[in-house]
Amino acid sequence: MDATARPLRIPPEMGVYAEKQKVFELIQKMLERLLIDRPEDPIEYLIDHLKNNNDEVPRIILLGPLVSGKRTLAKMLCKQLNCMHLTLENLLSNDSSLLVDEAHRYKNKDQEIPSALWAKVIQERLSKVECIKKGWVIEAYPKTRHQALMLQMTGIIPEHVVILDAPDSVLLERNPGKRIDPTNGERYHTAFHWPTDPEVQQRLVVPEGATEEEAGKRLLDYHRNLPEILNTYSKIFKMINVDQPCIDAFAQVLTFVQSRHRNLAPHTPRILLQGPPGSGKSLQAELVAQKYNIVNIGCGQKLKEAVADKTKLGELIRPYIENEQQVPDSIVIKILTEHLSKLDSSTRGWVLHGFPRDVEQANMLNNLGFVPNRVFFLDIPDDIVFERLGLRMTDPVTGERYHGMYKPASSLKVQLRLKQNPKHSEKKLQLLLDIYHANVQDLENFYEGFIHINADQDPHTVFELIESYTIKPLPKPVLQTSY
Amino acid sequence: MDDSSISRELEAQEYLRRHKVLELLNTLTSLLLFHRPERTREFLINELEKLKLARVTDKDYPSLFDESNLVAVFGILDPAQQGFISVTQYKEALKTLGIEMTNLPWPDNAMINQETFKQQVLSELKKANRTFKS
Repeated sequence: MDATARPLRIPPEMGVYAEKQKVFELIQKMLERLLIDRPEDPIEYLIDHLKNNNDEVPRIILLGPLVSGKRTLAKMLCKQLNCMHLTLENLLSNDSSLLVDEAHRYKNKDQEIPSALWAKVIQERLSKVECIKKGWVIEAYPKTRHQALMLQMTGIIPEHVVILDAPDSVLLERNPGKRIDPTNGERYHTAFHWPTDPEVQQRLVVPEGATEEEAGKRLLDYHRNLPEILNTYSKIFKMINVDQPCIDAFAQVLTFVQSRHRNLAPHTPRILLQGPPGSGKSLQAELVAQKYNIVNIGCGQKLKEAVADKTKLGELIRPYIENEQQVPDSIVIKILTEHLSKLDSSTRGWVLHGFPRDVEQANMLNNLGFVPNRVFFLDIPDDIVFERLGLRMTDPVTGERYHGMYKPASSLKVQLRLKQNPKHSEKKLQLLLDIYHANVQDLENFYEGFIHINADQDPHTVFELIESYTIKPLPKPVLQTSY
Repeated sequence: MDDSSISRELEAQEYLRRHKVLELLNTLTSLLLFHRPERTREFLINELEKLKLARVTDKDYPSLFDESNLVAVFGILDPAQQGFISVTQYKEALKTLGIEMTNLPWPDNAMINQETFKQQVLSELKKANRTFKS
């Protein structure tokens, strides 16, 4: 059917539902699995797939040069995400598998284990219930492009690929300090990670090939193969610098593996901008609204519009505005509802700012069904607020705006006649800031998945941040918070 | 793109076509969006189980439309209550219900009454909802 002939009217609830329940991702995953495994009976297969309920579990490949801390980070990651840790050693420790036996035969003959066999071994391991249910981290494999491609052919596709990265000089310097606990394969380091238990200290051994020459060779090997592996996983890898404390590197890895990749799911942005006065809410709202063609709803602006248009509600709030009193919530919400429920707001999306100021208002908004899907807090120190707004001056003759620091008046004559907007006097600003700070904590608790943005930078940097958070899906919720 | 990846793509397309995967996913998505259940996964599993059962018994396929919907569609097409609609209208009705047209059992100038309309559309719907390899 010609789509332009008759516009399809899709009820907005469907869109909201689909977004909330992630219908797109759900169906996409089903199709993806079907295409990878191509089962003879898709219906039965889909039932099994849905019962597994494992779309969200981590599937991670962790790669890195020697002594980059792969083992340590992988261990921490598995503990945090509660998933299975697969290393080349523990893959080969399964005695009951024929495939593993075959791999051992190669190993005993000092031959390389073929990639196809590796892929099969890994596949066998991943089809175990615990790996399906909990997810997995594969450490230090694939080492070559061929191995990566073999993995892909067998249908093992990670969701995130983490590449640990550090300058070679750092690695070579770090290498001689590496120690291995022969009983459990745990890694230690003489300088950075020394066990406290003297018994463990006793049994540590220096790993094979710790000489500088050997290490250099392995590094060269690694660098030769890495670009091709990255090519295979070009859209899902991230380099993490590990020339920093372990905990910091880990935090970065964790943030990455909890992010979701962008997908084509249709999505109407419903953005809420929060921030103290002068944090740039209205400017950012305008930029977002312009670029993404969504409706910009500034609370204060809309109230003033209503008064100027002399609508019924406008007449009602005129005395409050004129006397600079707070307009009652019930009327504000009515005016906002009018704007938010318009057809273009519900189909294209909206960006709201200046409201809600406290939890009660936020509650009202939610109860009316206007639930934002992105909430941003624009953070900015108080003294910057005073600097931005307190020094802002207007020339009463020309209407030109000046700023005491960023844009001083061109001549002394102009300088002398500048006037300040009474709204921006120090006392008024302090009052607004106090109200904001009193409520910000409660609002944070009210909205889950809020995003903090440092607004004390160039407006376009802030805009880019907002943009990236808006178009990317929200990260997965943190499963556990304790280490 | 080299030959092997093209052939793999064709293979995949052939698989989708043979098992009517896209039709199946379409039905599931529309059912989801129409019913908007709280527990998506359970709902989908339920529908798939129903489909599995229907495959054996060859009736009661999960579908968005039932007989009362068809009566309503007929009513819209026949506002004057003549009891008949034309073949053109019938085609339009199928399109509205999202059913792919197959060959018509009637000549082009036939008039269709409600009973035949219902039966025909039901069998078409059934055909459309047999979203598995036949």
